[in-house]
Amino acid sequence: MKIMLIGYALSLMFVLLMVVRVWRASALDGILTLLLPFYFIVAMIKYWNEPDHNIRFHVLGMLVCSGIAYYGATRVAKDMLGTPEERQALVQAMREDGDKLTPEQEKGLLSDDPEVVLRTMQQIEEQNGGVEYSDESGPGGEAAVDTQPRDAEFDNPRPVAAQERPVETLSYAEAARRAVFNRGTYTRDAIGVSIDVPSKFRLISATDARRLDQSRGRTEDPRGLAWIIHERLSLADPDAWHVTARWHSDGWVGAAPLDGPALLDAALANKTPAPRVMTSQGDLVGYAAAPQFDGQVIDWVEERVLANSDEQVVDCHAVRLGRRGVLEFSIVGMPTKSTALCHETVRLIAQRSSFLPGKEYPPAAPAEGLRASYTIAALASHAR
Amino acid sequence: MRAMWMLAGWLAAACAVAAGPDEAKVEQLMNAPAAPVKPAAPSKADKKAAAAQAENDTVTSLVGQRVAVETRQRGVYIGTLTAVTRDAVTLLIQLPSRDLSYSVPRGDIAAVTAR
Repeated sequence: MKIMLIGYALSLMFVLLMVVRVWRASALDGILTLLLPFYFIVAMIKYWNEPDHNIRFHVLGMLVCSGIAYYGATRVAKDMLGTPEERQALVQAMREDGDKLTPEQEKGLLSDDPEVVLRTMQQIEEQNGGVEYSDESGPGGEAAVDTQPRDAEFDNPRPVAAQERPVETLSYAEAARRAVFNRGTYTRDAIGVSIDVPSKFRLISATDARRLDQSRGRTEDPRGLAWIIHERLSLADPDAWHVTARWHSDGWVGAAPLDGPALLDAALANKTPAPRVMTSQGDLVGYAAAPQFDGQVIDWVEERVLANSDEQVVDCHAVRLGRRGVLEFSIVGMPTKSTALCHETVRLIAQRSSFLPGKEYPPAAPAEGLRASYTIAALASHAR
Repeated sequence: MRAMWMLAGWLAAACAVAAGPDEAKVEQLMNAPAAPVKPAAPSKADKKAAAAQAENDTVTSLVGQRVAVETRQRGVYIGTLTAVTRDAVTLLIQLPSRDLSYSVPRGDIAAVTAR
């Protein structure tokens, strides 16, 4: 802002000095230089060789100062618009708030051209009856459009159904194209969770994930929080694997001893399993990695044989326990040859996630608040 | 040229350290061609144990029984032991929809216990 003002002031000074110099030679030329935008060129040529009236250096000074002012103005515009990441977060926050954004508006907000972005922002403000959107970044770079804490999920720890919105039918490719890739730290204040997305991964919001699921005719996952995909994988490829982050607001989950063979025995004997985590459509064969609990995160890998097929796949899970529920990270339907990658990825992302202060997992059941009807052992064995 | 290679190596190492060991491991797995997990190469002690085991193989005595097979990668499989060879043990796992014959490589096995 300062640069812009200084540039403008110096530029104005050079213009006035230029007019004075020309005025001394001819009052008419002076008036015309002052009033007509490009008349100074005529005056400059006319008095080029007159030592008392030439304005060559004044013109040069004016142009340099105008350049400085323009540079300052572009910086101000960039500061106002925010970085592309901040604008992506803004788009995501607006979507999550249920604001209707047309594809053109989304494209406009994410454009590299500041003028296009400004025009789109004005258009959206007019559309929303003058409500101004802030591009201030919250902790970890997330846009904070809604300054009111949303504790609905904490006040009502049972699963909260996703807000009803008009369903837009898109092709998978189009849904993938529209998805916004987020980096850095993803925070959901409502459930008190934060995910530090690993540098080679990108996070896709629940809204975009829902749109991708809908485009494939899959049912909506009310517990879905986000998708996390590796940067080398293309979201447009329907077969590309991703980590699904889900929130289970079931309350505090009690720990229990984890004996791999005993858990598998129970899981195989259970003819009516009730999986709480995501699973492939198929029968459990065994644990490629038996459940293990480190006091905060339980992780395991299930090997399954797909229904109506002999193909065997693995489902990898890492679940971080919290005070009011559990945060699940799952990859399902991965080929068995990629078991190590699948397992390490969910573990990595679970390790990079955390609950905000006061919402972490206490080893003993808290005096207040809901308690889940199951233990971590039931979570891994799909017992009721 | 050597200095450039050293610099590139140093940069790669610095990136790996900055990313953390877990992330570096995932990257390594992403870059590696997908291949079945190879069992850990048996050490000398393992070889001696295997030789001793060959003489009096308790696993063979469990054929026909319901067993739990635990692998070196924390894996657990439960089923009826149907066959034992030098390379693999075969389980018959009863699934709700079918019976599945499942082989576990011998080198991968940490323990076989009767259930």
